[in-house]
Amino acid sequence: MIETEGLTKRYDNEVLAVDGLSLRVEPGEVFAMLGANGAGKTTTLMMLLGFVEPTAGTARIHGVDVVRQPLEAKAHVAYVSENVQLYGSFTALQNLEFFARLGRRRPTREECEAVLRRVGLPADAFRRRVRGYSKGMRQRLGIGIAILRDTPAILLDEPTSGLDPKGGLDFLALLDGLRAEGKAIWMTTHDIFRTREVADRVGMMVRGRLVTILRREELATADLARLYARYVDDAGPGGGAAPEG
Amino acid sequence: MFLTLVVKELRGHVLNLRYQVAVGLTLVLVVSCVLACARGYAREVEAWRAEEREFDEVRSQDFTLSEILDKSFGFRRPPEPLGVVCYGLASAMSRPVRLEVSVWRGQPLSLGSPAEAEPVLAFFQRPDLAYVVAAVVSFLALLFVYDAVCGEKEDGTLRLILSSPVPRDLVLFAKWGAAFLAMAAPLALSVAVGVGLAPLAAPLGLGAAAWLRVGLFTALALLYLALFLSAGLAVSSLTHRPATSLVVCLFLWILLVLALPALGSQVARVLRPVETVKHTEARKQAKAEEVRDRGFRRVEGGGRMAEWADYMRIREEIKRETRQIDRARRARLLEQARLARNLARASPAAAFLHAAGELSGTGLESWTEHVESVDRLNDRFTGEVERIAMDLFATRGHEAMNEPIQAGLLPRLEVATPALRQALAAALPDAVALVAGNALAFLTALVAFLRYDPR
Amino acid sequence: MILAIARKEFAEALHRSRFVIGAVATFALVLGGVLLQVDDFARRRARSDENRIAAERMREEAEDPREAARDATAERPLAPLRVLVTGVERGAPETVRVGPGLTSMASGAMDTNPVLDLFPPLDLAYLVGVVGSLMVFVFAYDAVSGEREEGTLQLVFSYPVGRASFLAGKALGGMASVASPFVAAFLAAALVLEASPEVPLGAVERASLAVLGVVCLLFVAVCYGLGLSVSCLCRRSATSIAALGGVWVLVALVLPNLSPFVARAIYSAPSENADESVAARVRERHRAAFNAERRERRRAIREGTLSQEEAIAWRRKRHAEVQEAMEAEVAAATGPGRARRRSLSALTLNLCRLSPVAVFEFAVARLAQTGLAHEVRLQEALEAHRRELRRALWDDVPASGLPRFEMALEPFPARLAGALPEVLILAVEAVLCFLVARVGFLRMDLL
Repeated sequence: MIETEGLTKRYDNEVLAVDGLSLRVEPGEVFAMLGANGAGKTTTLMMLLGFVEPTAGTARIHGVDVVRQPLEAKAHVAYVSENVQLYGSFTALQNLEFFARLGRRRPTREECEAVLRRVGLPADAFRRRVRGYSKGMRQRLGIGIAILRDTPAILLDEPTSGLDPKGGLDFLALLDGLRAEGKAIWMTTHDIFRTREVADRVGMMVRGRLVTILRREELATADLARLYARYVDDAGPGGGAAPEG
Repeated sequence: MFLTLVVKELRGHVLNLRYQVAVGLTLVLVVSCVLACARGYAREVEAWRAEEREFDEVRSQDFTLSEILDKSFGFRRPPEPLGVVCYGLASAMSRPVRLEVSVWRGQPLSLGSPAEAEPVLAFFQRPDLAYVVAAVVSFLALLFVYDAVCGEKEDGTLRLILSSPVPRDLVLFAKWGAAFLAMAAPLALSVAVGVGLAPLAAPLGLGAAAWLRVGLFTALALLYLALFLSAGLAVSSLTHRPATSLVVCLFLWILLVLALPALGSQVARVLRPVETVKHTEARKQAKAEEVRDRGFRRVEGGGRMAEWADYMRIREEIKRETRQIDRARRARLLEQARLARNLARASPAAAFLHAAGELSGTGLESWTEHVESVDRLNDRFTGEVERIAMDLFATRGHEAMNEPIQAGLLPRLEVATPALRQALAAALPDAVALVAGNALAFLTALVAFLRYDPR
Repeated sequence: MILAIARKEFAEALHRSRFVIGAVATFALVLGGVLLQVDDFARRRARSDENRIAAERMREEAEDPREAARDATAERPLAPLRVLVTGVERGAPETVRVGPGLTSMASGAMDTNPVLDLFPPLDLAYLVGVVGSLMVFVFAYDAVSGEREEGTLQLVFSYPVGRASFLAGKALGGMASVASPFVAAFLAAALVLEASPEVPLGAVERASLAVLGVVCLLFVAVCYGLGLSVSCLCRRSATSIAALGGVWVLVALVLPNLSPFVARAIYSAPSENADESVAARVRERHRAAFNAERRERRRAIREGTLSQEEAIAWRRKRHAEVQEAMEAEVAAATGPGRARRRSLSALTLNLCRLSPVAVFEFAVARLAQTGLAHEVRLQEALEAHRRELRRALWDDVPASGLPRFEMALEPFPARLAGALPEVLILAVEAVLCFLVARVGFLRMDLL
């Protein structure tokens, strides 16, 4: 479970990156946050991970406050960044093992290979150096590293941005599986089409504010593309459409 | 087109923090090192003057022949003002020379410490201008260009440039030209400022000829700089990631500047060993003994005797033989030095330092001249004393030993410095080596860049 | 956890091409350098032995002790560890003339080839101090800034890992990887020394060698700490390598080299030559006075007012007095200058100590007995030997009975005590560097 309450970040240059965000992502739920570049999606994630200190408000992961007990909170969350960056001179398995150790786990070789197969990494790539991987392969490996941690909460930053269509489909199936395992999943994305297929709820963020939340039922009927255009693309300088509800 | 490229490169350099640091460091180091060395020169001159006064005092007195035969006379070469530019072998040349006039030995001894012996400089190199250029500027040059090609590749801008209708070689020429301009201008400026300010620290008294030498040194320094820029570009065009390029550049630098020069000396020591002075002395003594054995006839009681004419002949022969042994040793020593120098030419840093030494009058050629001038002094000095002695013996007989002689009239050390033409000729092979190295590095860069894969 | 991070850091380093090249280069350079230096040592030793025998023969054959004393030579004590640390002995000949009047240490111009000493020899001290420090910087410059740039730090800190423990693990693993080529090269060098019959290694030398290895390691730690802290303070690895390059140029190529000049600019002292000529004048005066008295006595003998025995007894006594008065006056005349020179050299050394490279060089030279302290001891011993020689001449000792110069190297505790300040400086610097790295890393912005 991921909770935020009045979470606010105001940078030193007075820019309000996140403005009073209150949200709750339940176990077994996929929450997708849509927003233009610079809307505050990533800053929110960074606050959840403790990389950025909130100006006001609280955030809890699995009931643990991320500011007061950062390490404890991080023990319950896995994170996949937009451009998954790994140790290039290590193989997939070596990366997996190292990060598992950081998560205080010692997986067996079989477990590792099973995870890599689950994320769809070709078997011949297991023992290759990550430096030569394509972006999609790195993305899969990053997701695999997150899965192996087996945490109750998962944060995904633009997880589908580097994937080809096949990869995108695989990813959706994977996400369904994780939801079935009861994880609370928070992802940020631009990809409205895949979002509609997988998300339980979709939030739209405009200049630091969560302007609307659509439930799964509403998603089916709403024209998400139009909504996105209305809320997000118009939110350029000056033309901020920020209607209520 | 070419100009556009050069201007773009230059703008990129000048705005770069790395460039600003490099230029600042060059300026500060060159100027402070020149000033420091100029102070060092001033102290050397002071020490030399004091000693010269002392030597003069000795020379101004009158001695009897017997006193002269017991005395030793000191000479010291005046310090070289261009040692500020390249100290080179100046410390070996600034050791005082003592002459002992003795019929049987007569060998110049060069004793005492160099004019300015800093014990700490036994650990670390003397920071003259040539050293700053050889070590620091080359290092900065490599740090400056290591990512010129592969960095642009990683940023993706190289693809953009090469997608426009520009010949590749032009791009590389522009990169080289801009880097050279960006580094050469501050280097030349700081040399000019440093040497120009040096009179504030010490009266160097540089004449037009000396300034010409400084100018030639600057040209040589720019050639050396160009070599390292070419080498950096070559490495940058041969690698695909800036991190790799940097590492290769640094190892190349370590090899060329730190490792190879010393290796040259050590290999020369092994390949052309020179016997010690002790050995030579022993051989000379043995030779003299042999000649005496041959010439003198034994008399009862262990003594030896000869007619006056025989005695003179034997003396001449001993002189000839021992001189031959000395000369042979000296030739061997020079051979060793030349071998060390030739071996070290594999390193541009060593080639540069040797050439800079020749231009500054502190190189191998100058040292050779100095050694020979000490030799000549020895010959002339002892010859003169002998001539006076013979004359006195002829006119005064046994009273000769107590006749006064004006020491001031005896020969002095002439300061032999190779003329500019000689210096240029001596520096030429090193300069040619630098040009060849430059051409090789640039060709490598060109070939690599023409085949470079910008993906 | 820390161990896992350390292991990752170590494994990652082993995979880097720069590490492999650097390690191989370090090993090859150190080994090659040691082999060349061992050869050089063997030659020196042979020459020294030969010279000693020649000097003995000269004494036996000399008829006049005065002549023997004039040609007397002394052999520098050959420190076996000079194979690793040439120190101030670079270019200095193994044999020193000690005959009266010739007070200087330097050799004749033609004794050695000055061209060969234009460049520093490739001994361990140089290879670790100058070349090694640069290599360590190249290994360490992107330890943190690189990971930050790559983005792996973000992934790492999405895990329940504290920053301090991550840095600790990183430092541990990094240090282990950086030190390994040096350890291997040092062990190889030690093995070469052990295996070379030309280089006699006693217990004291072995102990010094071991401490020397520890000092090398400490120095590598300082360099690594410096690299790590710059890496933590810079946001980009391009900046950190530029900064480290600048630091290295200053620390290894400029600061120690400039320090004698800077010291002289701040503080002045009369030159040794100037004092020497003052001393020579004093001696000349006393000698002249003494000779005048002697001439008087000789005239008295000729005139029959003084007996031969009385004259000899007088000469003995008077000479000792003159000698004493002369030396006292020389000491008084040159004492202040010597004191100022000593302060100047202390100032120079302290300015040098701003650079860890110089601190390292001084420490290892002290251990190897090739440093400045050793040189000073040698000078003093030679001075004492000259005095002995003069005394012996006046006591009419036969040529074969003239004193011989012997000087032992310092015992191990003295070497250790001498090197201790430098070692402490290095230790403090290492701790300081890691602390700076820690502070920089804790305050680092991960985004």
